[in-house]
Amino acid sequence: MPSPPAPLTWLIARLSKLIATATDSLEAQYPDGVDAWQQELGRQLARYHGAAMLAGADAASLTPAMETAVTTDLATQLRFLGEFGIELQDGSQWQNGWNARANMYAGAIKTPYWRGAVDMLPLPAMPADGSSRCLTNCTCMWDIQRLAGSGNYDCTWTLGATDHCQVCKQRAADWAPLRVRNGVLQGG
Amino acid sequence: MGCSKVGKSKVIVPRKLAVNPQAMARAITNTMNATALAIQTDFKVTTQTWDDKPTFAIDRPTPYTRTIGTDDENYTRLNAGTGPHIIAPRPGGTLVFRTPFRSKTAPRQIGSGPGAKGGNVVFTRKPIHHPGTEARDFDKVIADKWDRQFAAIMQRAIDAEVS
Repeated sequence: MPSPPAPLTWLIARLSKLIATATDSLEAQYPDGVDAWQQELGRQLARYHGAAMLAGADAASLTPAMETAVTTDLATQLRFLGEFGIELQDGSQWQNGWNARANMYAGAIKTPYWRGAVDMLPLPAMPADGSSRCLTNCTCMWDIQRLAGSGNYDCTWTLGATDHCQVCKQRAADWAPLRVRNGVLQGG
Repeated sequence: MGCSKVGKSKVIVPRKLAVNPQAMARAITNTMNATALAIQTDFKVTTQTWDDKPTFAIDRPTPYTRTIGTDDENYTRLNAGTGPHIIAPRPGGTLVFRTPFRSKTAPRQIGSGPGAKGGNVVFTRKPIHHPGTEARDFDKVIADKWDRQFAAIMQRAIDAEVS
């Protein structure tokens, strides 16, 4: 099984630490501090979504298309964060599962990373984009082979080293590879 | 099989793509193809543990329409469910079935488990009352899921054209 890319692992570890610190601090003052916690997480998610896209694309700056992609992915996570915030505000006592739930947001940056890494190809799904049961715990990867000519790629969904859900297993069987020819995804 | 529709969303279309019909057409084709492939994979997930797996085909009735389905009768029946009914042995014959049966699938779940045929074999000459099978609604739950993802897929296809 291939290992996850080192830059992505590094970014997730850093974001995870920041989220843990913010969430521990919220737990200490709960039920106060939810708004500030939510703002802090939103800020960090925005930073790390951009950084993950840059790392995936191995680029120094975001193109307008990359910015749109990052904004779209970030909007999805901020919507989830908003729902989580409402749940936190409605509660009166800290719940055991909330720290782990908050930490799952760190895994969300896998999606912009892979969008960058796959050259923004129009593929059906990205690891950790929420379309598989494993959600942001997904450790799958895209393996992209650039072929001769313009817009020609073979794209293989590769299982990560850890446990995988049924959806990911099926993708690994079916999308091995998905073919993009002259910029058009084949087989659909 | 029932019919569930996917695909109505708002996306950001950059001006340079809006004035390029060829690129726009490619973005829409890629959106349709990507969504169809994702849906086909999810249907296969619902039968991943089956011994006799149905095939799920993608049809293109028009350039911008995809239909994903199967002709498999067992799958269609399970998807739609059945009401309570009586199963009678043939005249002079004996019904044979196993119990306790545990299904490999569950209503509104995109997945399939190990299930169990049951270890006890029952022989009877009397009709039995089958309680019916609750509809799995695979088509509906898969359509709901990809309806939510459709905008993201289309945005990816648009972004691919302008990147």
